[in-house]
Amino acid sequence: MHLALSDDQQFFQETTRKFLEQETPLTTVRALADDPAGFERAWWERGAELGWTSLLVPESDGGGSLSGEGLLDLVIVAEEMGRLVAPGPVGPTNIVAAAVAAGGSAELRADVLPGIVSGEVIGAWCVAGPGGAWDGSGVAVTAARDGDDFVLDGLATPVEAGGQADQLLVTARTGGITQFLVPAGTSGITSEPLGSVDLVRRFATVRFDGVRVPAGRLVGEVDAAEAAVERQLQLAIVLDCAETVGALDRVFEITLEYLADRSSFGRPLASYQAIKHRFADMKMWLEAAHGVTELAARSVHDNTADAAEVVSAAASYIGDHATEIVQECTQLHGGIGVTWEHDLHLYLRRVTLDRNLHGTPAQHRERLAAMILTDEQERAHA
Amino acid sequence: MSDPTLDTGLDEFRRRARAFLEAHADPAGTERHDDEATVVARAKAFQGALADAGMAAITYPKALGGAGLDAAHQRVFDEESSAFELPSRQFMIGLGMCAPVLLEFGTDAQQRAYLPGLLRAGTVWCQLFSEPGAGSDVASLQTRAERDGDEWVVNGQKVWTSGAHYCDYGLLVARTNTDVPKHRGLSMFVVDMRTPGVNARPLRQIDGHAHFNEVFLDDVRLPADALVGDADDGWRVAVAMLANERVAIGAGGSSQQMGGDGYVTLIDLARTQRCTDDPMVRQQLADLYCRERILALMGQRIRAAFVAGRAPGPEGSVAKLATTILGKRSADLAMAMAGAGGLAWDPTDPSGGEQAASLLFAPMLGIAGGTSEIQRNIIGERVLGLPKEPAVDRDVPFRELRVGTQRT
Repeated sequence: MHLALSDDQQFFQETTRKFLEQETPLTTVRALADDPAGFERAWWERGAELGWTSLLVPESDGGGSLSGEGLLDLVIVAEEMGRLVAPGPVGPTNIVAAAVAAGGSAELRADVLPGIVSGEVIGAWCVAGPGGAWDGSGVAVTAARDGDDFVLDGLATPVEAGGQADQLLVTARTGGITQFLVPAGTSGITSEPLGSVDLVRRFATVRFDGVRVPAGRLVGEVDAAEAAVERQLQLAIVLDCAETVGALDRVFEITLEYLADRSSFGRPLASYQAIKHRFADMKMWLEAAHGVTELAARSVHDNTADAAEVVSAAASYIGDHATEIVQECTQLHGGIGVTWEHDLHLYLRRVTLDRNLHGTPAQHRERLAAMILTDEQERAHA
Repeated sequence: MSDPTLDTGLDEFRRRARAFLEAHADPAGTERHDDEATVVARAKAFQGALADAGMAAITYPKALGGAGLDAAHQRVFDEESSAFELPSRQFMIGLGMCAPVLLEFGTDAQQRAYLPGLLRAGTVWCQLFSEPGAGSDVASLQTRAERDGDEWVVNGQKVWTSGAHYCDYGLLVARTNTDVPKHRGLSMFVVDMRTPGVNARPLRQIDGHAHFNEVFLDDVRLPADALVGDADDGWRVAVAMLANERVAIGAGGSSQQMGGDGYVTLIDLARTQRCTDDPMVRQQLADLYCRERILALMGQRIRAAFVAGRAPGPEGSVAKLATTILGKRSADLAMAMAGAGGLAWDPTDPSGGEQAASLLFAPMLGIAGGTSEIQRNIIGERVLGLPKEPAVDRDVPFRELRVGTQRT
């Protein structure tokens, strides 16, 4: 992701990195493993001051970005968070912010967005249903009209930050698909924490039992949320990819360093050709991952015609290669790499999470196949 | 970006370049299917016209057949030409590798004798490096050049020489000293390919084509002034020539298109074979699509770095490796989908045997232009800075070395 960071973006990257290194170094991340929320609110609000929650909110709603290209700046944040396997609901909160900014009424935006931008309000997106379908096809919350209100019933699982969020973006079935922004404290909403492969990212099952939601809390039109859901997904996946790429860069660095220092049979491990060749392959995958993440970010930012294809291409390629890279690097460390005390498993956990969070590589390839086969059909008949 | 009011010279040059290219070159992505003789003739005509228009060899001195301009003009030309297919890419070895070597290491007499013709493709040049016994380890080559009075006598064999059968000259690396370690006993020579004793023979590949040649050198007599640089200092010249290859590839224009839409052909095949609903096929088609887009991205990054005047970084090395992997996967998938039709086909069908041709070409991808193993060495050692292997042959006199294929 390094082709052309502007001076401002470079500064933003450095600031973000320094902040994370100081405030949530890996020792702190490990300590937070036992924390129910997985992060501290005060820390989150300081992150908000740095801009973490304002980048996808238009200036007219109190948000803004350094470069004027908010998503590209947010991708820098995501990458830095991957680099230090940071805690916190950066993804979910920003998705909620983007959704409300795009589809909420003026009143709803004024009600919610300032709090998100200041860091006081955390968001979570309830869209997945049992079985984990992440693309809107598995929605298990229904919303029935009742006068001026809607009544929500069902459950969403897994929901990232479901137990910490103040505002829930709920994707629900109303015949078609409709989205609502619901305060987490609304009567009838309960959440149960889930275990997770990641040490500090938190997930929950969120249940809705006769939850009454006024029409003013609609995000977008009734039965017309498909396009918004697709956009939110694309944003989420771009952030997953950026975080993964940041994590991989760091794992690669750590492994190169270790193998240059560690000697066996009279010379550094890094001097053995079999090992150099594995590094070379991983370097190739890393370069590819950076390139396709940047392309996906720009495509989603510019809302290009092929954004969906590029995003699924990025998700599938990066998903597959990320776990392979971290597993290779773990292997290259020998015994020390499989100890709890070594940091590698924090990265393995994070890239494993990001790989499946919004669709597995195989699911994305299936999505891609459907898209390219349709394109070809259209091209053939053009 | 330059201030237009200060750079009217560059703007004018850009206009001229664009006008020339529009008149003489196809737009990027155009495919022609001409035979080799036609391709070579077109390339010669193009380069000659380019030289007449004062835009060939932009940074070379005018007295030597160049345009006598500077790097800024070169950048402008590269930017403009990236939208076209340059016929002169056929002569990348001569224009992009031999010419810079002559400019850097040649005597004034050699430069005056050879560059004007080379730079306008009045003469075409080849590279005589690899041998049957020396490919990846080219410094272990065995072709000998022995001093005999005023001449050098050359004996040996070169292999994988592109264009030898139509080239006028070649740059040859030969061994001139067997008492010193391998790198220190090599010399570079200009060889007139019509010299008695020089015999180029087509080299047939497993796919049946013969793009390359073996070149046999039997008692070839070269004049003393055929030596380029100093005797026994040829390895340094060879390394400089190989380094220029990366730059030349970067300057190759859009015909260096990497990745692209090969997956479209495979989709057509999947439809014909009625396997578009097969989940495995769908996964593999999607995977191919991803890899092609990523490869295209890598190509863009290389060109962008080149046009910005930056030396290609890791992008070039990894791109070659990625191209090889994609090519092999693509060929495998095509053959798998083609089934029996890939093995036996109607001889009158113009697209018959396509999958077999791709499959038989695929092994060459990982061997030609630097094997995949060498690419990985380069990425590991030069890009990532990992320690080199212990070298068992660096300080051993060549005559004591085990080279090529020898039975103990």
